[in-house]
Amino acid sequence: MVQVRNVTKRYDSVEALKGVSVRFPRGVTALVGPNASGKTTLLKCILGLVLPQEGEIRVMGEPVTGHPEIRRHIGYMPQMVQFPESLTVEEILDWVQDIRGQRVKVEPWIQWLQLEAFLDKPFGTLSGGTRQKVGMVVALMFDPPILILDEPTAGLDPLSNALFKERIQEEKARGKTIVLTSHIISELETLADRVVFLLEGRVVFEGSRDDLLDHTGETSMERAVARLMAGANGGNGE
Amino acid sequence: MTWKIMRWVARDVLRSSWIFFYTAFFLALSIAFFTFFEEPSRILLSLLNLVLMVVPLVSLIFSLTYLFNNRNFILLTLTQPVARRSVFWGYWGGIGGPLALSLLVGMGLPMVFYLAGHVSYAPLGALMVAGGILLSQIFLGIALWLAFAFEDRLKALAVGLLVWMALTFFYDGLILTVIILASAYPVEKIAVGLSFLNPLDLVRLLVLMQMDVAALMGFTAAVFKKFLGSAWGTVTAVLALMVWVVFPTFQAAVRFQRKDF
Repeated sequence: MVQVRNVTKRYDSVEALKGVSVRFPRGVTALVGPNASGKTTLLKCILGLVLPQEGEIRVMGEPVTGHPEIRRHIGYMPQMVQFPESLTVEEILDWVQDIRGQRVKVEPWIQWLQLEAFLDKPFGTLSGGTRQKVGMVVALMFDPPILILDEPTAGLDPLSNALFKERIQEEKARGKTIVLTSHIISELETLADRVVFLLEGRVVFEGSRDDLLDHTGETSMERAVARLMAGANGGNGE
Repeated sequence: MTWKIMRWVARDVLRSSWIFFYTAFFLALSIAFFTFFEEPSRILLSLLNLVLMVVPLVSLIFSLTYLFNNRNFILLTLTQPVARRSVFWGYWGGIGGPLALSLLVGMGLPMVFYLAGHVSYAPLGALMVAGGILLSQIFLGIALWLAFAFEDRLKALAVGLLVWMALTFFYDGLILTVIILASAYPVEKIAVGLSFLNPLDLVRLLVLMQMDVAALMGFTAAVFKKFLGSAWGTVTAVLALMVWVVFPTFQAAVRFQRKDF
């Protein structure tokens, strides 16, 4: 579904991605790695936000570069969800439908995350968790086949977190391609089928969750990832 | 698509208290000038000075602040199926439109009422509003350029303020220094050439050339008129202003196209 080939990205003197080749098939892939390992840069390359110097990225067979229409297939939720402060939640949902030229039924989504009371509130007055929920609705409401979610549960209350996980399981069952990043590995454990481990701009592990456990000899994903990080940092951990 | 983005940005900008106070400021001062002063040329000159001082600064700071505050939203817009080009021109029009509207309402509207009784001054009034709108667009272009060239908002703001100060305050000093140092040579041509490098000077020249008040014209305007005559002087000044509108904005557009968000 998403194919990344030999992608290199340099920012001035820093090489954020060093010839990354990776595939994101259907199902849930957890993209993990220590801070500054290139996770967000890779996701942004897939979305066309960051332009790599070398390599190619294809989404559903089409190259990303120069094809903004590709993003119709992608629902994205960034780490920091931000809309203009003066727009109300209702207007934001109207905005995204207008920009995409696609009208959908929003009521079920509003009920799902209990956003009814916030519809007429300006975005600037919302709490961090409620902002995340709005971002989540925007990413999911068009039913795109690919979901890219960068730290989606940061700031969510336990109920919304549970609802979100349930939804991801449903979307996975419907055959979507989902890429997730999170600092809380135990959170990914229940969701992810595959793991891609990035370190200093390179893919050091790509495979199923079971492969990861075999590879590291650990019994949980959290410990397996910790071992990979510790190994990479000479035993110091992150 | 550009139009859709422009409408959404304009809707947000028009709700900001900045735009409201900016419009109210011009409205209040225009009405005050028209009420308390008698002579139309004096009122227009006072308004001209106000435009030259306030419009560039407000356009620059407002645009820069807005662009930096909405950085993550610009990012989110770019994750939708829209071309970068559309997003850039959407922001350009969405900010530039309300800035122009503020001047039309704040300065243009009182002028329409007042100059109805002094019809001969109407073209001059219209020229001043147009000059103000051009200055807004020029400084919006500079703000767009800086906002997409710098990651750090303070650096962008510092460079922007330096450009504004250079054009507003230091420029006359520079011209004067050149004239004194080069007084043995025909300095007029140099002075005219230097005026093209400052959009504020160009707007001032344009208005003063139409007013025909030699005493108020200042050195460059007098030289401009002498060398180019009113008609040619006006045409060249307008063309130079157009370059000022187009150049920074297109630089910003090129940067936006290649930028990593």
